[in-house]
Amino acid sequence: MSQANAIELIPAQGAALSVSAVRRLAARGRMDLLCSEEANEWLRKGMELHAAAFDDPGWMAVVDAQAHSRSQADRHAQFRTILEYLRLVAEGADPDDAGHSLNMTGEDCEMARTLRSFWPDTAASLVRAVQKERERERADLLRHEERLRRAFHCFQAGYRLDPYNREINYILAEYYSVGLGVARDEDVALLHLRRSAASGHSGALRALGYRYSASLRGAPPPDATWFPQSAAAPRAHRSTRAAS
Amino acid sequence: MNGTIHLSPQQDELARKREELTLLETVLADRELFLANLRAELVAFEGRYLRQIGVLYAELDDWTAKLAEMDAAMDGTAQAQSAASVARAQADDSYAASHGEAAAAQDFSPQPELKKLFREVCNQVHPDRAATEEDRALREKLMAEANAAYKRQDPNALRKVLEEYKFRPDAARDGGAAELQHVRRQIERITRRLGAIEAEIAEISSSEIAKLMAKIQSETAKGCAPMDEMARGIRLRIEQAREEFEEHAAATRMR
Repeated sequence: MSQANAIELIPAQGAALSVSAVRRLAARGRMDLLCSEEANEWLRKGMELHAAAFDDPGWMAVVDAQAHSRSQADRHAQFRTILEYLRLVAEGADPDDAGHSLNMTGEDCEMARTLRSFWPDTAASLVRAVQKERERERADLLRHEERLRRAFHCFQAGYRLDPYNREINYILAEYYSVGLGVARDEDVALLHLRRSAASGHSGALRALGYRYSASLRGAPPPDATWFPQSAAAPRAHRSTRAAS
Repeated sequence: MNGTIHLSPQQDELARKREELTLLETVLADRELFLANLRAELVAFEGRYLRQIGVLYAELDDWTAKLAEMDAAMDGTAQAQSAASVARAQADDSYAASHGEAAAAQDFSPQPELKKLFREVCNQVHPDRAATEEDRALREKLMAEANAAYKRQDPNALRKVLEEYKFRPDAARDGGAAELQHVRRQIERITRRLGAIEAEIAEISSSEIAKLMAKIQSETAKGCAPMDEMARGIRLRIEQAREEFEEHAAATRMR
């Protein structure tokens, strides 16, 4: 090729390269948009499972029962403890150990023994009812946990597609922080929270500000002004980079 | 005498062909307008996209290239060097694309009056309506001027094109065989041109930038702000890359 020809080709080649670079930038933008769309779809699926896990009547009954049995003022607490004692003994536990493990008073133990000795049929049917209730509770809990695990996997799938999605980062922070569907990990929770807050998620900003102001852990980001409370927090303990 | 005009078979066919031609000319003007709009909208969108999003990708690529170059300097292996060269080439490409001529394109939002005017020009001046080769050459020149004027959204230039052509003679209208043949040729040319327009529309619509524009338009119609969201995402990635670079640089200084 002569030098003249080569010189003539340069603008044309430059234009072609520029066109291909523009095309590449357009393709990249479209791919990012599609990924973001798919990530939002995973978020939607995850939120459905999340809602199903917490709106499940079985799970709500378990929570109610737990709250109920924890209440000292509960007038059924004594009866429920006796039923629990009968169940443990029917399953082979030593009566004294069972009473001790349930923190029963001597009076309650005596009442339970009397029920077991004088009305064995009633005691047995009560035990069966309690066992059945326990099984149902276990199944409800398992279903609840399975839904949370599946919801977590949905959020993770969304995160892989769009690691800067503020909603996904916020909900993942909550999952890691509480240990929903995944083992608790406060460091990872904080990284997700920071990433969500960096894109202006109001919930994440509040949660992060609360963490900083309560001197829990983590440190304010370089520009601490985006949450007034975070500005006062010490800069120590800077967490490690986000797991991407 | 009942007032009925009896047409010869040739005149009858000519009348039918004229009707067909009038219809095709209307369709042609519509499709030319659609194509011109599509081209201009695409160029304007490309410019807007490069100015808003392209520059951010270029900045992100620059940080990525800086990181790769730092790794290559520390690592020193051929593989790291090659990765750094590739990253730098991509960063340069992205910079050139987002700061080049395409990024300077202005927004395109023609007024209905301008569209009407362009449609009128297509109807009157379209080269496929030419009677002779000389006429065709003139029409092609004027049509190119009209296309450029429409892209610039310049109604005065479009009016000038119309004026310039206004007093040109149309094809012979003798009602005979010559006119019939001319009308047939025009129909054939317009049909071919319509095919070419559809092919061009299909080709443009399948381009990456057109698909991106369609996607963004559909998201915007839903009330979203996809360009703003994209920009937000890329800015976060830039921030992350910058932090990573600074951490690497600090680690290097410590050694």
